[in-house]
Amino acid sequence: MTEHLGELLSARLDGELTSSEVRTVNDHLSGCSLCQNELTDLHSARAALRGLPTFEAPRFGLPRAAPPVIQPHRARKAVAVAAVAFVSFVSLATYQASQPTEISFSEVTETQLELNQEAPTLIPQIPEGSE
Amino acid sequence: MSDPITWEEVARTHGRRIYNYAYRLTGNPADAADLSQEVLLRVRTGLERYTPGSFEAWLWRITHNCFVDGYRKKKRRPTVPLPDNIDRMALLSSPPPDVVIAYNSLGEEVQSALMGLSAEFREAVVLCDVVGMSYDEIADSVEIPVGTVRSRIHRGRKLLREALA
Repeated sequence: MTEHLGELLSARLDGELTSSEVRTVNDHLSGCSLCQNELTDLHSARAALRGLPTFEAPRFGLPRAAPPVIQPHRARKAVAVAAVAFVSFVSLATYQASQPTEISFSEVTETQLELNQEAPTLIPQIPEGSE
Repeated sequence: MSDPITWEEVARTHGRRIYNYAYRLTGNPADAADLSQEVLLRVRTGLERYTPGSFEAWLWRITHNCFVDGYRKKKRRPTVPLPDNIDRMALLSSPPPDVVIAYNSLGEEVQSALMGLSAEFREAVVLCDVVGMSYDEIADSVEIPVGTVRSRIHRGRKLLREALA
């Protein structure tokens, strides 16, 4: 019997051998002090690991929701809306700059309403006859 | 048909085992908390696509992949943490005081010997002797043959024993 047991020894400790393998291993062990010593060493290492303290896990927070993914066509729409909002803001700012500086909140509201009502609709000038 | 598994259930039921696995592999409470949180983040995303089967194997495959990814990342940048880790860490409570004390005293010698093993051997012995998995379960989680699991556990224990002698 020249071949020693090697990793079969760890498997034996863990109960991971078939019944026929267990018989083979036990037969070898009964006559091999080298494998007996190795089994003792492996058993110590296993016991050291199994004897390590275990801990309560910390409280885990809810993961953040991923930011919404904007589809390309929605992104284009968002840019268009932002552009309209910007133009409106600039128009209003220009209009307000031309008015007296002391003005009440109610006056602003009414003025804005008038502005909205009187805002000219831009109609593209298309020469007659063009397609 | 059973109710779908929720992220909170996974954290409640498996959080402790994942954290202890992470603790023994990384060697410190802060990295263990970070790795555990990463696992749960991936679980949360993955649950949407999860189809009923071996939940344990699925969960531990994710856990193993997180460890491998984190290990590779750390090898590339050994000292500087990633900026997005700050936000994730902010979601966690501090490691419990008993963990901090134990980190400094109990099992320090064994933990130190564990950290001297290669990642493959360390993970194999931790999954077997700390998490308590069978060889088949480890093979499923790490996606290696059972024979390789047996060999890694054996080599890992031998090296550990030498380090502790």
